[in-house]
Amino acid sequence: MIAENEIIMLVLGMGVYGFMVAHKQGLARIPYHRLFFNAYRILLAAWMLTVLEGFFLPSIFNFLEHLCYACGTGILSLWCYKLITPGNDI
Amino acid sequence: MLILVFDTLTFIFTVIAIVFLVAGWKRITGGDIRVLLSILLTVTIFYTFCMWLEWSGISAALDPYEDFSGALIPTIWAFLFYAYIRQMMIQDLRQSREQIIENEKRMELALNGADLGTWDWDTKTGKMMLNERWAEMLGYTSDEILPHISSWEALIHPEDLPGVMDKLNAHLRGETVSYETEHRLKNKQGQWIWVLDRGRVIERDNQGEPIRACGTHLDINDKKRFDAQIRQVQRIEAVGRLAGGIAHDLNNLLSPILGFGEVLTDDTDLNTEQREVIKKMLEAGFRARDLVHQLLAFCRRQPMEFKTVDLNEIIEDFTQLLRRIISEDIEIKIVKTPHMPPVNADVGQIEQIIMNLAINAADAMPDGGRLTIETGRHELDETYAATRPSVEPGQYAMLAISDQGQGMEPAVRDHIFEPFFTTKGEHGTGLGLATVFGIVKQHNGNIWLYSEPGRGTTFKIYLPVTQDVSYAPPATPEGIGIDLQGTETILLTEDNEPVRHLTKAILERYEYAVIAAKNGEEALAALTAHQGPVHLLLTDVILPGMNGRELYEKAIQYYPDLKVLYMSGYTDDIIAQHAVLGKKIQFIQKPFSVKGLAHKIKQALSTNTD
Repeated sequence: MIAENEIIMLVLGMGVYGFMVAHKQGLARIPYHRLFFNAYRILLAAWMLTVLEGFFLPSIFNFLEHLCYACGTGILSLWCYKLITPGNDI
Repeated sequence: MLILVFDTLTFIFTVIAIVFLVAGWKRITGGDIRVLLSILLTVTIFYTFCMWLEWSGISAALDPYEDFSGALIPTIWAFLFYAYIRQMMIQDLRQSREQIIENEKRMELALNGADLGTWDWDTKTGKMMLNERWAEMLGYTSDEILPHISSWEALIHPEDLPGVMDKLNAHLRGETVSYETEHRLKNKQGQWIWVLDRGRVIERDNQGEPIRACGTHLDINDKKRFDAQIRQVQRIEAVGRLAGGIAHDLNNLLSPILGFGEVLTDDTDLNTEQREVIKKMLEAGFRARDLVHQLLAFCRRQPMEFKTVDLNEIIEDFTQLLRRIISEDIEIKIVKTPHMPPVNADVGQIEQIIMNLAINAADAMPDGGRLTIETGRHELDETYAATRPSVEPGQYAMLAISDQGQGMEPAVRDHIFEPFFTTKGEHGTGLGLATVFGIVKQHNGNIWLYSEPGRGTTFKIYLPVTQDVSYAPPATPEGIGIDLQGTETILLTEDNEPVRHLTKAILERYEYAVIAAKNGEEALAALTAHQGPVHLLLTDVILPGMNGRELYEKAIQYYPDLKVLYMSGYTDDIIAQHAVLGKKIQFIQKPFSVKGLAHKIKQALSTNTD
C-alpha cells in the first residue's frame, strides 16, 4: 500500500539531500560531518524503503526500513555525543 | 517482533541524543541550531513512538499524527542544514572582519614603528588623505591641516620646491617607476624639518593620466644632522692629514735652523749685535716649532704619555695657574663630581685642553662673567652612540667648560674645530680649538659643542673610563744637574742630510763617538764593519727602505745590548699606533734643541733594554 505521506517524506527528503550535496563543502565544516551526513542518508534510505515496500517485498523492505531508522537514530545519537565532547565546538 | 525491537531502539537512541543535547547545550554554538536539533529529535521521538504504538498493537490513535510528523522530519533537517550554512557564513564574515581589523592594526603598528606619515592623493581633485603621524611630524593635528595638495606645496621650502615638483611631475608623466625626494617642510613652529618623501601612482585612467597616488613621509631630520656631523668630521680629518704632512716637513726644516742656531749661540767669538740677531732668529724658530706642535696635536700625531688620572685632580692642580691667566673680572667656578672614574690621559694635554677652552671662554666674555669648569660621569648608551658619529658606547668621564659669552651662530659652530678658522681676527691663530679637538680624539674621546647666540657656550668632553689603574709611564729624568757629556758610541741614521749633520754635530759636541748613516742598509753595513761597542741607535722613524723599528730589530742581532732612541717629525703607526709611547720606547720629536737631544740621549742610555 502506498501512503501519500510516505511519498511526501521521500520527495522532501530527496530535496533536502540535494541541498546537502549542493552545499557539501560548507556543511563539511560541521564537526564529525560524516556521521551527521550518514545519519541523514540512512534515514533517507528508510524513507525510500517505506515507499518501495508498497510495490514489492513488503515484509523485507519494511524490516529494512525499521532497521534503517534504528541505525540512523543510533548514528545521530553518536554524533550528538561527539558534538558535546570538549574540543568540538563549531 | 524484530520491527518492534528496532522501533524501541530508535526510540531509545533518540532519547539518548536528546539527553546528550541537553547535557552539552552550552557547548553547541548557535541558538537556532540548538533549537532545531531539539525539535528534530522531539519530532523523531514522536514519530517513532507513533510507529511503536502501531506495531505493538496497543493503539492506532496517533496514526494521523505519524504521517504529519514523518513529513516534518526532512523539513526540519532542511532547516538544520540551512542554519548550519548560515552560521558558517556569519562565522566567515566575522573572521574576515576581524582579519581586516587585525591587518589594519598591524599596518598602523608597522607605520608607527617605521615612524611613517602616509598620504593618499586624488590627483584629479587635489584632495589628500593624511594620517595623524603625517601632521604630527610637523607639529600639527590632522584637523589643523587642509587635506589638499596645495597645503603640502605651501609647506615645502622654496629652495626645494622646484626640484620636488620636477621629480613629482616626471613620475606623474610615467617617466619614473616611483617618486622619491628629500626636502624640507615648515613645521608649526616655523622651523624647517627634513623629510624623505616616497610614493607612486597607484591608479591611472585609460589615457594613462594619474588618478590616485599614495606614499609616505619619514622624518629624516636626525639623519641629516648625523650626515652633516660625519661630513664635518671627514672634513676635519682631511685637513688634519694635510696639516700633519705640512708639520712633518716643517719639522725637518726647523731642526737644522734651530739646532745650528743654538750651536752658534755658544760661539764665544760673536759680538752682542750678532747674538741678538741669532736670538731673534731662534725665537721665531721656536714660535714656528710651537705652531707645528699645535698642528701635530690637531692631526693627532702628537706623542702622548698616558697615565691613569683623575680629572678632578688635574683641575685642582691647574686652577691655580688658570686664575693667574684669566682676567679678574671673570669668576671661575669649579663643580667637581666626587669619586670620578679614572681615565687614561696625558696630563699635559688635558691641561692644554682646559687652557685653550678657558682662554676662549674668557675672550667670549670681555665684560666679565662666569667660567664654569665641571666634571661628571656619564654612560653613553647604544642609542646615543647611534646618533653620533664615532662614539663608542660605554662609561665616560666628562669635562665641561662653559661661559656666559655671546655664543655662536650655527655657521660658526660648523667650522669651529677646523684649523686656522678663527673668529678673533688677527689675534687668533685658529689652532686653539683644532688642537683641543685633536687631543680629545687622540684620547679616544669625544667633544661636543652647545652654543646659541647670546646664550653662552659649553664644550663637553667625554673621555673613556679606563679599567687599568696600574699603568704609569716611566719616570722622566729631570736632566737638571746631569752631566750631558758622554763617551759612548752612537749609530745615527737619518735620511735628511741637514738634520743628520746637525745631529752628528750636537752629539760630537758632547763627545760621543758617532757613526752616521743615511738609511737602514748603510747603518747595518757600518755596524758590521765597526770594531768595538755600539751603545745606542739614534734613528729616524721613517727611512727609505727599512724603517727605524726594522733597523733596530736587525741591529740588536749584532749588538743585543743596543739601546734605541727614535726621532721623527711625527710618530707614525710603525712606532706607535696611536702615538702612545710604550715603556720601552724612547722617542724625541723633531725639531729638538741641543740640550733636549743631549738629555734624551742620556735618558736612553740609562734605560734598561729588557
